[in-house]
Amino acid sequence: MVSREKKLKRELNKRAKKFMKGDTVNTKNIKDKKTKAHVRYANVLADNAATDAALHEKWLLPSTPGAIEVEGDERTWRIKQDEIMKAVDINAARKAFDLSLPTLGPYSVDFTPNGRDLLIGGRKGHVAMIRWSDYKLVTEVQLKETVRDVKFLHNGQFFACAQRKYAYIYDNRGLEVHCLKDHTEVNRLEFLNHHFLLCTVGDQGVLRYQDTTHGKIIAQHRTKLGPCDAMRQNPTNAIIHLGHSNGTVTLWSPNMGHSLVKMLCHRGPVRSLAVDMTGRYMATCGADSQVKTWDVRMYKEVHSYYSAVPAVHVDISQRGMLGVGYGGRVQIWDQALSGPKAQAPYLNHQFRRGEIVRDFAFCPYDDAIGVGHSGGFSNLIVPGAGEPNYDSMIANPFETRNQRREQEVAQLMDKLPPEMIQLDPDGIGVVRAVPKEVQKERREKALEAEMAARRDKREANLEKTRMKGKNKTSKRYRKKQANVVDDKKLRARMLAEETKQKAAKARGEGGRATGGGAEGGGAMPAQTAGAASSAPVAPKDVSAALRRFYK
Amino acid sequence: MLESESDEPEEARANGVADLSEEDDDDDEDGEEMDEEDDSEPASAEEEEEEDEEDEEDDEEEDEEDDEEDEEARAALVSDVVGVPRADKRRRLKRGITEHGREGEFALGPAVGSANETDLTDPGAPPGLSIASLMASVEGQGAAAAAIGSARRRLDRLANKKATPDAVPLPRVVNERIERKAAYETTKADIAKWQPIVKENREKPTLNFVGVERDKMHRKKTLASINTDFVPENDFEKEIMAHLKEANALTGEDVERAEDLALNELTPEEARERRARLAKMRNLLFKHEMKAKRVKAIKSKTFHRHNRKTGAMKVIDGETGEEIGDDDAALEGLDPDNSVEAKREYLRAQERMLLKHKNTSRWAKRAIKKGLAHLPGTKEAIAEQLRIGQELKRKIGIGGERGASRDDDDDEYSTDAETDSDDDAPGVVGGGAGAGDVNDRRRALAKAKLRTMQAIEEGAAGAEEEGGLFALPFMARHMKKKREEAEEEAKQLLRDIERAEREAAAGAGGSDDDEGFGGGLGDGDWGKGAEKFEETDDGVGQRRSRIVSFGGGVTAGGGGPSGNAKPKRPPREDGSDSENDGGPRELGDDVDDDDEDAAIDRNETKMKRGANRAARRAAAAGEAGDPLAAAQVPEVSGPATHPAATVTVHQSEVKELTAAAKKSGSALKARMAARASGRGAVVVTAGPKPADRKIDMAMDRDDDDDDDAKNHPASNGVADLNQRDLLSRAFAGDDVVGEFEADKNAEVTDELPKVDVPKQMPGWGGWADVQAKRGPPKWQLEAERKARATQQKALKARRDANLKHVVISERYDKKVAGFNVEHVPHGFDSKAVYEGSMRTPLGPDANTDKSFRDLTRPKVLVNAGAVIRPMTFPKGRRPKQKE
Repeated sequence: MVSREKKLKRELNKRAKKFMKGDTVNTKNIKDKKTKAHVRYANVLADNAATDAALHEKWLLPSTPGAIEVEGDERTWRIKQDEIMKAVDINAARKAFDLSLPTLGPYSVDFTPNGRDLLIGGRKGHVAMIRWSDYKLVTEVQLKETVRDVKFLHNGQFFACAQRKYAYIYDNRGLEVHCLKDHTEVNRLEFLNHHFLLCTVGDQGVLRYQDTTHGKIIAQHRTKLGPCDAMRQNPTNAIIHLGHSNGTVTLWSPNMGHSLVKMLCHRGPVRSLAVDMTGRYMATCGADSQVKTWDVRMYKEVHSYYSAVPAVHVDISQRGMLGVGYGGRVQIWDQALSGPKAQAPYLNHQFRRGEIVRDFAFCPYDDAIGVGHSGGFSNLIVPGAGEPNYDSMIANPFETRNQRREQEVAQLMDKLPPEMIQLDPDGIGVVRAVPKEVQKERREKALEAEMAARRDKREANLEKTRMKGKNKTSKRYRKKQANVVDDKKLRARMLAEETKQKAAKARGEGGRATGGGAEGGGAMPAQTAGAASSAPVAPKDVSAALRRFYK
Repeated sequence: MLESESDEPEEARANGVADLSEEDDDDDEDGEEMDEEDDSEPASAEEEEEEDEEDEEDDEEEDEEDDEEDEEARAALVSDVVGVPRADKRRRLKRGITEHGREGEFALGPAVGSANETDLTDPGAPPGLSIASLMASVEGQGAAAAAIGSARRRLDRLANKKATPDAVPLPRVVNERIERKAAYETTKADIAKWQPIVKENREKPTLNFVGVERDKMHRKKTLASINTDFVPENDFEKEIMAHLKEANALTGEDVERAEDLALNELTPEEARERRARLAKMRNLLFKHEMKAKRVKAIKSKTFHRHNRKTGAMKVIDGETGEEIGDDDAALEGLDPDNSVEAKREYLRAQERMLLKHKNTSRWAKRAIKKGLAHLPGTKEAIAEQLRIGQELKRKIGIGGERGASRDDDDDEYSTDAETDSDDDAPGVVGGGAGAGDVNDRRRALAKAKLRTMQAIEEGAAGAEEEGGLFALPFMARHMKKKREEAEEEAKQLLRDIERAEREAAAGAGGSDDDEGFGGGLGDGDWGKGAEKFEETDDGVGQRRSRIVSFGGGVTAGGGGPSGNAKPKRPPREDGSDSENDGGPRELGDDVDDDDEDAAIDRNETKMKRGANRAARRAAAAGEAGDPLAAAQVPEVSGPATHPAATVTVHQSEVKELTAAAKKSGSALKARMAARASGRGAVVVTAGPKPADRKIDMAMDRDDDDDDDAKNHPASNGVADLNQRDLLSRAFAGDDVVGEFEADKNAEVTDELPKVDVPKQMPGWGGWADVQAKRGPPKWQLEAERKARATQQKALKARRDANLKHVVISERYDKKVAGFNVEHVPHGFDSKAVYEGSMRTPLGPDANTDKSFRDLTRPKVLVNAGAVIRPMTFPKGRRPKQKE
């Protein structure tokens, strides 16, 4: 009979296994006592973290994701929005609504990371910010310019718009705060939350990173692949994925002027792409009528779906649902990223005649998808799309004003430097060998610096050829200094050393070769021809005067 | 006992340990100490005494002691021996110290004694006064003997004992060393008790001083608490306090009371009025402030220019609307909820009609006539009048007029907004179109016609203005050809428009549009008038056509700005059609064999045709990335001569275009090709072969969905068996894979390690021709082979070695390297241990709150500014006792 406590403990351990990161380090063989204690403590912390996480999962994450259950021959994708609306509670039913804005152009959509605010930007310059909790209009502006993309910055206080010529930043009152004149002809915007970087790419095919805390441009990378209209970030490592017109997807960090990875995904231009929350899978759609999912860790294709009409937009929800939009239709696919290939969509929505989908985004922490189309904006209910449990320290959908302020400060305190962005998010702090070229470069640099210092000193010591005042104290001191090994001497010395080493090496090789030759029966004349003489090698401590007698 | 006690002070001085006063205070301890030291002391004490005696002899001359003193000395000695408790020890000691005079006739010193008498205690000592000799006199008397019995006993004991002289004191160095050692032992014992505590603290992951130090600090949390506890201390503060008290303004309550008293003098009405006034003032001030702030925040230069200039414009300031000045009356006739633009427009019209600001007033005329106009004030006033007049007459670039005014200067970036305003009428979604749209249509047609004619004219005019590259003969030829084509197209367009106009006038096809859409697709109710041509009015289409018009601009307008040169998109153009494809297409002729049936077969039922067309349109819209293409219901009826669907492109043409574009790497061409290839796809989707629908269209397994079915090409059953193949054929021209491979090859080669291969220099070490005949020497071949091997090895070691479609850059990221270590840090035996110790992620999004705090807690936690006091030894702990 196992006691209840033990049972619970066992269960907890089982749960904790899921949260363990890597194996426990064996401390037995560590010699250094301090290190041993340190590593042991690190082990304890790791264990505790996993157990804590397991406990949290058990008790504090009780909400289960939504789902649609069908019986018998029914298929979920046959179920229409109004049927879903009838089935769900009032609060959820409220989420299905349409904004009819037929003349203001197709809309692009964005949500804040906590899903508290919604931003829609019509192509013809209509930008509106809506509070998601009560669907209240916060701000509405007519920019009277083409708006190509809209994006919230770190919270609902500011948002960026890619307009006709430049990108702009507005605050939540709709007032223009900044005009980003460096970002010209922007097509897509992206914001890296942990790094406070606004990324833009556009017709010039230049990827720009601008820090929104101090306003400096961190990096500008020329993709050299023409105009770009597809950009997404990988939420786990803040790498930017770009889709290009030659069918490739490139991965960028602000540190490297060259793409980190370049993969050929489609035969036609890449229309849109999306990366899931775990950072493992990427979905792309191209003009070649393919929708593909990729394992970004391996850079391998997982599935390739075929759509009769090329899809214009893809997005992945927090729980890994794949949204695909084409024509006047949006399809949601569940479990289509990995595992066995999905056979049918999870949900399917056809907009009214003439409403062509342009952009959509899943609402974080909510079972909804906001679709921007030519007829305005529509919100659809997608049961099970959003993460049901939230961490108010990370993103709080019910954030109050004070919480938002606190959060903002915390975010700024936790801001990561852009240099930290790299493909492997665990790569910080690990041992990384320096390549030979870099080492050489460093050595050369150090040598150069030293030489320069010595040269400066020597030049300062060089006195003019003047007869008068030769015996001044300062002059005498300088003369003394001239005896110091200056750069010329050092260089000569190094050169001598080098030649000596080379000679020694050559001798060594030659000796070996002659030895071999002797065994073979007689020395090879050509091999010894270069040698000066057969004199013995000079011992180390021999004086300069005697050196000529040696080799 | 005697010696030891008398010598005690000296001993104390020598050791530097005991204190005189201390000795006085605690007799008991002294006694104990002496008992302990008894064994070793006597000998040394005796010796010292002897030395003392010698000293006394040396100082003979100086000694002049009184009899009385002698008496006293003797008494002291006796009392010493007898053990009578003395009243004042200190004095005794003092005497003891000074008692070193030599024994003379009058002073009997300790060294003086009869020669025959020997000291009992020390037989070897020189003869002198001894205890025995002294005691002899006391011996024998009964009462006295009884009285000193105890003392005698003590003396006897002393006498029996073998007293040894004091040892010679140790040398100073040794003595000090011993002292240090002893001191070290004590200190060590004292400090060692902290050892476990220090170790514990060292091993703690975090030293927390927060709670402890905070409790110790005296802090006042709020201003109010500081205020209430305030006590005036210095004169200044006291004086101020006194004054405040005098003025009855010591506390906030006092102040309020005083204000209330002041208000009492007013009548309630006055007070209310005053309050209201103040409130209003405050309100106004605030409003003004807010407004100023907002205006200041506006970064637009244009706005500020206007804002600065407008005297009269302020009247109808954009967002305040209600601020209407002298023209108030003039505006009264207008609808109150009319827009600002309308008001402005009204004022403008009024200004044009009236002579208000034209200096036609009597005063102005007189001033001018009399030559007063040159006077500074008058001149300015007149100028101001003129300026206001101009200002009012000018069209301000907002709202409806904006597009028109901008069109000329902003040719490169034609906005969608302006397109919208220009094409307002055709842009309206068909659902709302009623009877009035006949007029709209006419207007639109007229506009289109005008534009087209303009374009033709401009094209002709711009023909001669070529220079530079365009002046080259072949370019000129090409240009001319293009121009002619464009002209032809434009003319055709003009004809179409005219025809359409005629139809519109006849009102033939007006209402059919709505029916076509309203009645749903596939109803077969498509009249002649329902032949529609989709307008691209959306952004993507617009931008594309803009880009295309770069080429098209050359075609139509030569060197002129493309915006002007580009003819207004003809109504018969489809969303994905554009000018760059050359002349107008005869649709039926161009259709490929595959879809010829679909395109030309006019004998098919109306229903089928309608469905096909709808499907095609939807496909075209979705495919070309034109979200709006299908949304925009065309208002203009197409020519009856084009019965088939909107666009069809020859398949081979698509391929050709794509291939060509891919070959020339220009982005523009690539984009065109992409579009063209897309168009190719449109054509294929139109093929009506419902029977052979492909099953693997995973994305489209919804053909049973009845509503959607009509809209969707695939689900409609018009999907082609060959669609996939055709698609792949459409993209076959561009060798994407090959290009990528070449690209990868170049990049990888660039990243491979550079190996220096020594080369034989022709003519060195032999005759060049001989060398050439022999070929490269062996050593060179060997070096080359080695280099190849290294490169091959490096190539195989790459991460993308087995990934055909991926290039993974292996360049060294210097910036990231700042966050890495180059070697395993000291103490860690291996990389695995080091990296394993850091494997837990630290961030709050990977951990629970508790773990996050645990993982990131600093080594020392202390409040800023708090004083960390030295540790106190914990009460409960006892140091380890050593045996």
